[in-house]
Amino acid sequence: MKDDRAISMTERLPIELGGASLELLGGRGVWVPAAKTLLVADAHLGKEATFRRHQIPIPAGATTATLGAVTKMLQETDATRFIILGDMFHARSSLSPDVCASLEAFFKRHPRVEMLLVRGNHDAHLGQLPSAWPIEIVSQFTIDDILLMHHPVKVPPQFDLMLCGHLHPAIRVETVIDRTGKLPCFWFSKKRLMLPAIGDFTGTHRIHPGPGDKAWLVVDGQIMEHVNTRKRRFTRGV
Amino acid sequence: MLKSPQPSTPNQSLERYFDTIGFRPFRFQRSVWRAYRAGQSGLVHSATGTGKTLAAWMGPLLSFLEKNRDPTQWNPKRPPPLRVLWITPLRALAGDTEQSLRAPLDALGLPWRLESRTGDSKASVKARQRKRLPTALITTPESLSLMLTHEKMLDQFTGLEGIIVDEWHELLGTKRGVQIELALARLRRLSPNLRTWGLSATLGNLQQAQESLLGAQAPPGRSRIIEGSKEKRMKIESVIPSKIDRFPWSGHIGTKMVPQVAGLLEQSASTLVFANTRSQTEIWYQHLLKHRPDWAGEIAVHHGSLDASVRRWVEDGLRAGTLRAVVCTSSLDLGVDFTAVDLVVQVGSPKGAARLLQRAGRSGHQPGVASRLVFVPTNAIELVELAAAQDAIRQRKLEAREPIKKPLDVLAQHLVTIAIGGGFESADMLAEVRSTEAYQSLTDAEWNWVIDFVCRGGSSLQAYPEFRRVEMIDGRYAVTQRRVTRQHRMNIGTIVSDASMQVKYMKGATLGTAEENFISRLSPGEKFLFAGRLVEMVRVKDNAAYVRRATGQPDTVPRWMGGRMPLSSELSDALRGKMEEAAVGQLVGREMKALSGLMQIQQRWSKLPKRDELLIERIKVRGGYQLFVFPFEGRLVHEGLSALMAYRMSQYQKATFSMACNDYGLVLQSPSIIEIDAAIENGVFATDELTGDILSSMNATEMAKRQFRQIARVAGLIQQGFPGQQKKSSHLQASSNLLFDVFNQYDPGNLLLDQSRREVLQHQLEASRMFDALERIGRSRIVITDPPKVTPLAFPLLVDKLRARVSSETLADRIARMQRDLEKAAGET
Repeated sequence: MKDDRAISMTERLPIELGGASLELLGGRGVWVPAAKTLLVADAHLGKEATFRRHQIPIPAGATTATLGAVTKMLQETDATRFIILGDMFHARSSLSPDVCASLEAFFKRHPRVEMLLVRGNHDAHLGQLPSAWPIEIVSQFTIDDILLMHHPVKVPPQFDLMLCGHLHPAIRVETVIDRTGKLPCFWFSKKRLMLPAIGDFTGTHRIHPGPGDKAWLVVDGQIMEHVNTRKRRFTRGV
Repeated sequence: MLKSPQPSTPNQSLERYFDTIGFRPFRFQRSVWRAYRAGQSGLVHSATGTGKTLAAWMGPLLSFLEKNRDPTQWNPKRPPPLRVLWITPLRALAGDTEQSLRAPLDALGLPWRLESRTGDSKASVKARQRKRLPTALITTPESLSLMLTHEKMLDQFTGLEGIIVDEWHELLGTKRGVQIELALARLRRLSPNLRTWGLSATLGNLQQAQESLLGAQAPPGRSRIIEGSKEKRMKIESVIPSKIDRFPWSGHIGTKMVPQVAGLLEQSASTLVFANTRSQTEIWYQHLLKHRPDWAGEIAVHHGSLDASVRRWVEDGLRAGTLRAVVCTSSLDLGVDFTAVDLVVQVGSPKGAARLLQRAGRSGHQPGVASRLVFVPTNAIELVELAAAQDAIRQRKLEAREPIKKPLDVLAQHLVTIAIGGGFESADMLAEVRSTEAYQSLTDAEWNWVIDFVCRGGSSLQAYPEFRRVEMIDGRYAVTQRRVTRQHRMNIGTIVSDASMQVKYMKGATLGTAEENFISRLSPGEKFLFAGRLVEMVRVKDNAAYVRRATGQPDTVPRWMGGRMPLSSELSDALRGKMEEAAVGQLVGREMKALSGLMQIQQRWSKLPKRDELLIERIKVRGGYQLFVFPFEGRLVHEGLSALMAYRMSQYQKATFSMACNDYGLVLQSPSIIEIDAAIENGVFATDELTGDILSSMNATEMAKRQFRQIARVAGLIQQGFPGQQKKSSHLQASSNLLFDVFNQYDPGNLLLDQSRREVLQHQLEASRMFDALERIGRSRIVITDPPKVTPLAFPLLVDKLRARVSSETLADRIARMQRDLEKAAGET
């Protein structure tokens, strides 16, 4: 792996945060090599089905694409555990037959991967998932002293690092003469690493990293460290 | 009330009415009445304040009098059923319209019931009207479409005799106009002898305006275009700055003219001060107040983002003549008679001759009274624009409003409307839709696609069992789910409000709305001008920005998107004419004479281009080479042209271009020398492969995304909440950007995507104007000069920020480069 201090891009970027070694993946996931665990957040599976159920015509495809991105990362990392940091499904009505079928195919494809869902706000109204599904639901979890949650709450003092979702962070890069759209990113702020939403049909929330923060942009499946030029502490946001 | 002993003829009654109000009917008014009574339809056009309303209204009244000659048979307790619909583009105008329509009804003692039905109407009134409509109903395009969703109301439309569309020029060329066209086609179905009349300001394309209104199948020879009284006396003059700077200033907004303008306001009873943007109105209002603190309470500000109650207060003050002046945007372009207004001040170029004419007409808003407009330039060259506009008005070269062709989003919405209101049968409905001017060329494939879209949620190849907005029942398309009906009714219409936040006082009074983007950049304590007041941001909560009154200096002024009109092609043409006059030393009029010094410098350092010349100036500066090009074609065309030039040149010359544009020309800047001769040789101005090159040169996808917002809203992909209302169904919110991406990826054949690209080409980039401009350039002599310094024509271009365009980089490369720039910039400070 190239370690270039200049602006460089890579599909897998190893970083050290809060004493832990992680790898940020261009597929919008985090790989924890020590625990052989792949983490993603905010899949919002079946969101398009929910829209259609409410007579808003959205084409299908996002759910399979999202699951496909996860499969690719599982294969590349050879993970034995897969954890979703909340909002696996968009709503109760997201569990349409085609969405369930895609998901069952996904489970079948990864029989040896242990799957875990850290419950998010969208999962709260879900009710019971089919008991045959090999996925366990928890409200929070720890691996190797890393706290895993859905909401980016204040990190308890006994932890040096928390991974979480919920926010769908994104950054707009602006220079004097050019400006991009919102780019999904990983955002590290106050001991929390917030993951970009893995879901293909999800919105983003624009963030403004503060002076002590770090962020990594996801551009075309590549990770690129964000150049933080902010001097003034931004008061809004989380 | 006029009561005659024995029945009189309709004409006698009418003459008596005009006697009582002290007017003689104009000849054009009589023509309209005659035509209406003969069963004809048509378009009446003239300046505002010349009696169009009475011209259109008296026809239906006469027609009634003719068939009901005996007043003893009239029973006001049993008003006749619906006869006339009056469509107004603004619901705020409904009240005033009702007043002016009521006067003759009362005077003639007609037993008619006249009512309004708009979004502001009470639910109880609406419910009563659903059972029985009044004899004449004033309504908006949106409310009319809403009525079509009530199957039980349709019977009432069968007796409709006439429909009058007020301010048709405002609706023409918009999706609201298309919405009206579809509604009219439906009404003609229900009442085949319906007469349609439009009232319009004078336009460059009256014939098209009439065709759109009357439909593609209007019987020839049964329709008229009638011109109102032509001679509206008009005085247009400019405030000429005492000293014209050697360079035209720019970036300013003319506030150094405040003392002169205050002097004008002093001398007149009531003045409308038009500025081109909402931010400008706020700034001008503050400056006027600073100059004359004693005018507090006598002057006010009015623009579309202010709360309705604030606007109403200002409008009432204008009507009553209690306000000395109101600083406003196009928000006061329409309707309402402010008879007290005797002067209009236009700050900055109106960018079009028709608009100048229209605005001037806002003063002396009565038949026979002269209009007076004073123009305040915000930079010296705008004086040329005014001179050009006056030429265009004199030669009656007014702007056209191009009608929109077959927008599928509006059709999808209309089909759901009709499916709710009783349903439709495919072949029948297609014939009805094709009877409109907008959809006469709708293909079978397009029709089938829209039907699939509302029934299956996409192309028929995909099956989504959970989607059924419109269903096929016994051969008819209909809506059965109440939830769909409710949702659709809430979202009918084509007006898209920006993502906006309410601005409120802590105690709860609402001041208006500002763009979310602006609010999100404010920190608590920052002060900004809003609704003519200085306020301080306190906090943002529940989609509202809470503020309190503040003192001191503003930190910022809200900016609202849009609103910057490009120079019209008519005015561009007149402007090139003015330049030629200056080139041959013919300076006609005060405006042009005032600029003689500036023009001489331009001539000495470079050249004043004649009509058949394209001027290009080359200058070497510290950061590189600059190329100034002056087609005088308006900002949008120049934006497209600069991107096109940069793109084409970068095809054979490795270069990065930054560029800027204004209404007169464009500048390209490059770190390396720009070989313009070679570029021209290589066809940088060629018209071949224009569309493809435009699409590759501009960030057309980004633009299409923005355009998709309205389409997504109209087609029902986005459920619009109302400002201030809590979004209940947050799980059904998705931004139009996201929807665009999802469609692009999973349903690329979706015709709504096509439509957004087409709309970008037509409306954002004015591709056809660009084509015309390139053709003209192709016939022109290209004059290249190397001036010693930046010339007066070029100077304003340098004040605008240079904006780079993407060349052939990938997104990742581009971002990496941007980030390096940021890092470098951060390192330097």
